[in-house]
Amino acid sequence: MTESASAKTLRSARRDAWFVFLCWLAALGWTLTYCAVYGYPPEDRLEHPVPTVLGFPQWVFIGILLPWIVCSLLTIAYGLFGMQDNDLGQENEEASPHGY
Amino acid sequence: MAIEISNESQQVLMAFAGYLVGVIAFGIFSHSFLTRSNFVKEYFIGGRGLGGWVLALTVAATAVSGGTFMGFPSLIYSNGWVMALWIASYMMVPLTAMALMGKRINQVARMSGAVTMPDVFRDRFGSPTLGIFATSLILLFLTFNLVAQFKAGGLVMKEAFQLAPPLAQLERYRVASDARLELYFRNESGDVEKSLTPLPTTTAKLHGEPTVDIDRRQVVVEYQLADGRIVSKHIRFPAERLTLPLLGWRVEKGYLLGLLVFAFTVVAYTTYGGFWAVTWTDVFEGLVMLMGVLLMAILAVRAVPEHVGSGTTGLAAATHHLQDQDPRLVYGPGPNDFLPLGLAFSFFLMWSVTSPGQPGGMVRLMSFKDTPSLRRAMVVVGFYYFITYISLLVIFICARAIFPSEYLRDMGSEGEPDSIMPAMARKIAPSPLLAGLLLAAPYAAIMSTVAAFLLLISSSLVRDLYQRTLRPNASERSMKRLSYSITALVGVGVTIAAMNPPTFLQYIIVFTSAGQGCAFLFPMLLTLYWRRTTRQGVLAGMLGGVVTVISLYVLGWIDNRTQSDPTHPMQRWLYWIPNWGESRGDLFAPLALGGLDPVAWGLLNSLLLTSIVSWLTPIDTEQANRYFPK
Repeated sequence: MTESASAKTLRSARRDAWFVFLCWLAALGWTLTYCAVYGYPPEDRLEHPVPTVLGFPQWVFIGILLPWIVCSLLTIAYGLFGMQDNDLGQENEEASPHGY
Repeated sequence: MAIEISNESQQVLMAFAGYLVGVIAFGIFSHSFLTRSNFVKEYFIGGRGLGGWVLALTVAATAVSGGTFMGFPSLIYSNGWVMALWIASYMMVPLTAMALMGKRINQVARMSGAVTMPDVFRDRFGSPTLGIFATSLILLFLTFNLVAQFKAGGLVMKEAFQLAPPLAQLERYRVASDARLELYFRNESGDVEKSLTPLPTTTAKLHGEPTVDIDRRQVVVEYQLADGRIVSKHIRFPAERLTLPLLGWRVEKGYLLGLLVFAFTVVAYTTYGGFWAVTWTDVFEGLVMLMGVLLMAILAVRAVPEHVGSGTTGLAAATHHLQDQDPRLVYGPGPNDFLPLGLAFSFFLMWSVTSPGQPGGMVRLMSFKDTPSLRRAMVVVGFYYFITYISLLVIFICARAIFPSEYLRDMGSEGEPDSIMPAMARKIAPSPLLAGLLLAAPYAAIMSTVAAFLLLISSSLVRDLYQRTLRPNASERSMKRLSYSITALVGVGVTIAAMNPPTFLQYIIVFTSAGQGCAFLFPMLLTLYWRRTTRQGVLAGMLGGVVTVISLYVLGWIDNRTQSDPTHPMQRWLYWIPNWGESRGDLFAPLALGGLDPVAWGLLNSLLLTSIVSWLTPIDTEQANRYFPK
């Protein structure tokens, strides 16, 4: 593996890591904020009939299921189209087991 | 030893036997791969030849463990819809566990020839100390975790056997002050055995005399609840116990039998087939799990009775039934303040951030053959986790609607939520054969995790300690012999430990996952991506993460044990710690400093220490240039 190919793989891996971090931040922000606002009602509202979407409580559907679907689609899309193919290099047979 | 198994259990066992034959066949088939090239690389990482599908299913099956199919369902059953938030961060796990460092860790492992996760640290920094320290942490955490997983495997098998208890006579009974009913039985050999069972509610009172049903080998007890209702509970005669030779431990026969079947199968195929056996059986087990949860979700939704008030059926009816039972089952934080927002944040970190920090997952990322395999695997895992976790939620929300807690005993259980998975499988399956297949799903989950951990421990001992530290010139033949023997010996050792396991298993699993995540995630992430990282920084980060998690668990344990005595020296010395003295659900629950789980503090400390100490210590320019080309 040439040095430039190795550097390219490193750059591409860093790009993947940033993508994951930004998605994670968005998922964390949406899920916790929505659930905190709509999923944790005060005691006096607990007895009100719970609104449902497809059988799920509405706060679970919008706060958790919907972002879960979006994240799964993003994962699939990134796996199919977003992530670059890179040269991972050859196995270093000499390094092990003696190295250090 | 005589074994009495009912007709129904025989059919369940037949389905199990079919599954086990499949697993063993994969183990034997995998052995042929071991002769292809370098034995150590083939045995421990499959010669870096994993394709997309195999990588996907092995990552998924390793992460989905006994806890997913036993502990998680019991928590859904007890706490309702708030568990969706508890598990929500699994939406990110396919990305964090695979894309975050998959490409880079594979590249670095190839550059250095690393076979294990400690190898990566050792080679990247040229430091045997780092390798040995990482190996020691893996051994510490995984050995505890394995005992817990073996116990779960033995319990599922015990459910499949459902051995009839021996005949006994009810001698006397009384309600103890801790709201439990004590029943004293005299068995056939004349010994008296005590059976403890919780009352349906703390205020329930005994209603009449308990009746003995000799044919079904159970006692029927009636209770009057505070609202005047009469409910009955079926308590089985005490199970037969055997005394283990040499050790002297008294072990329940059904559990022992289950544990031995489980241990023999998993240790045999892992030892014989190595990494390839583990991954191929993971593929098979992953598919069994997926089919199991999908089938069970369909059966569960169909089994929910119509909700009369709202006129709904299926999942919507289940949600309304839950609200009727207890409105806190459909909202946060759940019954008994189960998931306050601080803990919800911690659990978002727990699953999504600690998953990529697990050594078992890292080894898999070091094993795929090229980037198209990684991309394909992400697509499959994205689907897999979504279907598995949403199905599990749906199944056990329906379980709570179909079987409100006071009726759980009717399913043959004594009302313990932990038995909801096997109880539900037996109840909703139209035939015992199908019930056996459904029960095979949790069994497969436990087996796949155990096999991966077993190999990880064995690789730590054989590769990291023996080959790289003690005998660098060890021959291929001696490495082969040692790999087989160590894998088998570790399996036997853990089986013996699991015959008398500690009772707080769920906490052990959570503790070991948190500990490993906090020890390895940030040190590895910075090792891979930040040129300035130094070996001192990595060592400090690992230590910081582990010490933080262990300290908060120990402090929680001390507080839980001494809370009832305000004059206890620990209570007087440590009262100033935030969240000290608050009531916790369990004796082993950790101290949630600032309302956050130890995992949040462990990750923060690990990140800060790795970064700061790396800044303050000199960088090895030659090594850095090798792994970070311009």
